[in-house]
Amino acid sequence: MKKYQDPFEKLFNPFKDRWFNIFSQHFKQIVITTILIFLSIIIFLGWLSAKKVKEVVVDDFNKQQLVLAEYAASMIENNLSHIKRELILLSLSPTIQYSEKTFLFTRLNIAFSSIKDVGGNEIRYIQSERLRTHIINGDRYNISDASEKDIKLLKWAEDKGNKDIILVNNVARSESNHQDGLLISFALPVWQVSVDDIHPISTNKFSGILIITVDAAALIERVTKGIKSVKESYVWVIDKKGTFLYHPASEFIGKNAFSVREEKTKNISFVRINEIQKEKMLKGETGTSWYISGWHKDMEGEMKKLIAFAPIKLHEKQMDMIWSVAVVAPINAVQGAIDSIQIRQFILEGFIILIILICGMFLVALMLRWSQSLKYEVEKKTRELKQSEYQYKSLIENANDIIFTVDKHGTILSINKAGASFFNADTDCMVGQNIAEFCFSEESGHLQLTTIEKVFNTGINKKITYSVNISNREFWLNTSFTLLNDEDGKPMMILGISRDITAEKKKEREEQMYHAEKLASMGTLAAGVAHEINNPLAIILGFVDLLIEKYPKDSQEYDILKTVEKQATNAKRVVENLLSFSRYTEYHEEEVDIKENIESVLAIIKNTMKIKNIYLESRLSEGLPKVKADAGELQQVFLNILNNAIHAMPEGGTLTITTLLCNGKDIQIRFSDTGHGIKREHRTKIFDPLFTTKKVGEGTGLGLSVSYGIITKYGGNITFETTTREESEKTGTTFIISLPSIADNKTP
Amino acid sequence: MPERILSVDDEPDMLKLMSMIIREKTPYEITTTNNPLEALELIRKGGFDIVIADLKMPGVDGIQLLKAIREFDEDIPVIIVTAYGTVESAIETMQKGAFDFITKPFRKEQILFTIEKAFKFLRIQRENKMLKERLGEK
Repeated sequence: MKKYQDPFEKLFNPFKDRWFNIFSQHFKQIVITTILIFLSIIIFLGWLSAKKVKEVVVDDFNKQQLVLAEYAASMIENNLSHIKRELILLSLSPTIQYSEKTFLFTRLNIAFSSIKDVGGNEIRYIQSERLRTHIINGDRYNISDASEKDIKLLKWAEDKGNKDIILVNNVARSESNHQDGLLISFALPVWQVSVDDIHPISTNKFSGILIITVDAAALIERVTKGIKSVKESYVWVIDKKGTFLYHPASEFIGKNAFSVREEKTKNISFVRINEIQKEKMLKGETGTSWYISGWHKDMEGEMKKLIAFAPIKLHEKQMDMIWSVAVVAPINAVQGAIDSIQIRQFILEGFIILIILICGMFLVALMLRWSQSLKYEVEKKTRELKQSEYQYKSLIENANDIIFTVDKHGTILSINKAGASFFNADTDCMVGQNIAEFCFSEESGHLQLTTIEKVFNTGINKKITYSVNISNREFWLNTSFTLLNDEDGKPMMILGISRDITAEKKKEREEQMYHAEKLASMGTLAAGVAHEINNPLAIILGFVDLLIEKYPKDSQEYDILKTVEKQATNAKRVVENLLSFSRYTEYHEEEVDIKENIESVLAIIKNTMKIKNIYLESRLSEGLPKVKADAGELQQVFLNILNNAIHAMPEGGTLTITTLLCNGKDIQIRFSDTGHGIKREHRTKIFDPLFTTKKVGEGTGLGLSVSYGIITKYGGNITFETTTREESEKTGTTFIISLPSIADNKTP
Repeated sequence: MPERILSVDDEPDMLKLMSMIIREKTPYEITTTNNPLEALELIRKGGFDIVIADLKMPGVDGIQLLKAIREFDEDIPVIIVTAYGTVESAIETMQKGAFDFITKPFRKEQILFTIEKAFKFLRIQRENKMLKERLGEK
């Protein structure tokens, strides 16, 4: 049965899907690879973002340094302005202009104390009139004769064109007794332009020159003291010549910025910082950059440093008096901070990834475990299914019955071994053929196909009996057809289970034949007996007939002869019945109306039924086709059956008579009583002649055998259904007579 | 001289009954025999007007007897009496030339009526024959 597996395979082997297999086999690798790819992407993106953050932070840091540099520059400029303002104020003081002895020192001292905090080192006033120089330097106040240099300055100051001009000059270290740092001087000519109580009118005479000397390093240090972007950064300042005005490393102060670094560290190239100094700082530009250095504070070794620079303008007109302030810090200091944040970030990211990984692995493990248990379950179920399929298959294959499936049109889809061997064919040969081809007659085939179609359409199981042709021999099958639905509940195919009932059929036929033969031989016997009896009866009746005339009617002899005649006539009737059973009597075929005949019989026995307390239920159909028979004979049959029914209900009951048309051609007459039923042991004998259960004299035992003879003579059939007390609560017998109607062309 | 009837039956009692009915109810003479072969001899000797024969008899049955009679006498009415009251046997006997067919058991009126009918037929037949002969003489 090859095809039988198809629905099972379709139902139970979906897991053999190729893609599913590949996926489940490489599931682990796929998951791990995916996780690794994602991790790589995350790490790469993290690195990229860290780099960007670093850039942004470094940039921001440098910008912050620039702000600091600019701030420092402006603060230095402010301080210088303060000094210049003091210088101007001092030059406008009448005490200075008119060199008032008493107040000159006081005024100079006030001014010095004002500039001392911003790096003021010395105030010098050179009197032109006396060529004397007043110097206030800390707590010391000196008056001396003007030096040559002072006189030179006086000469420059005397020039009216230099009136109100502040001359800024670098002062050589050697010229000063100041310990450290470069000095810078601001000189302003003093003219007698102010008035006071003593000098109500200004003389406008040249008075001298005022010079304030400032310690550049002190000036810058005061400003830069508090400026530190990060603790690692520091500030340095160079002048227009590239000389360090200020540097945290004091040994650098006063040294050339272009060479001092190389002197300190020889194996490092300072090209970049020299370039920055030369091209940008000394040109008075503002900006940020980086360079390579060999140290930073106490640290040594090659390092990258960030630099932000801004110019300091000492004098608006004197362009050569430009300094540049730089704020520097090693990039490591910034990156260190960033790195620590990034390390923390990386640790956090790593931790999260680790958690994700652990969760993922846990999930994968869980899924694998689940899929394994699922696989196990599937395998188990598949095994069970296979086993059950095998059991079913072997059950079907080893069944003695023919088991097959067909489609709606009767095409064989599958058939078991028993079926193939029954038809003397090969399973493969039978599959695809129409089932009707195996039928003995066209009628059988038609019956089968219509049944299959009906079962397919209605879903109601059906059982039919039909004959099939095997090697031109007729075999009988009793087949039950069942609809099989698919998973969606739609009709799929028809399952047929056939049983070979040829033997039973043969036996049944033989029994029928035997019964018929038995009845026929009994009929012959009865006929012979009838003839033998008819002769003596004729003699008896003849003599009685002759003799009876010889006695008067009131005589005893007449009575005796009448009794003899009556009994002999009874005997004659028995013989006539026997003869009619054996079909030896004459009959007149005519078209007979069943209803009419039943009614005429009922008219006769109506009274008897009333007396016997029997209720009659008449269900006689109107307009049924007529049958071809002898009306008298049919009435005799009805009377016989009705008499039996009445006899079966001694205590009353219901008698139901039904007539109906079967298959459109046979008239069926059903006589149902609610009597005691026919005992099992009597059932096979009831149609036998002379068989009776009635008391002697009540029945001849010929009623049913005669009825049988009459009905079969007209091509009909007489059967019965009966139930006795032993079998059911509801007892009774139904006699069923079917007769071919004239609508049917079958000849009796 | 009264007309004569020959009754043939294998059952003597039936012959007895038949002769009683004929003698009592008719003016005819009756001769009976239970031997069909003797019956044939008797008929051949002549003098019988009607034959009443049973259908079933041992030796020679009614049909055979009828056939034998017809061989030398075409006219004599033969009434067949039988206990085998079938249509087929009735048709057969009539075809073979029987005058009538009576089934046993019968009423005496039935047999008397048939005998009368047979004599009437016989008379008409004889008359017919005589008239034909006269016509031939002329």
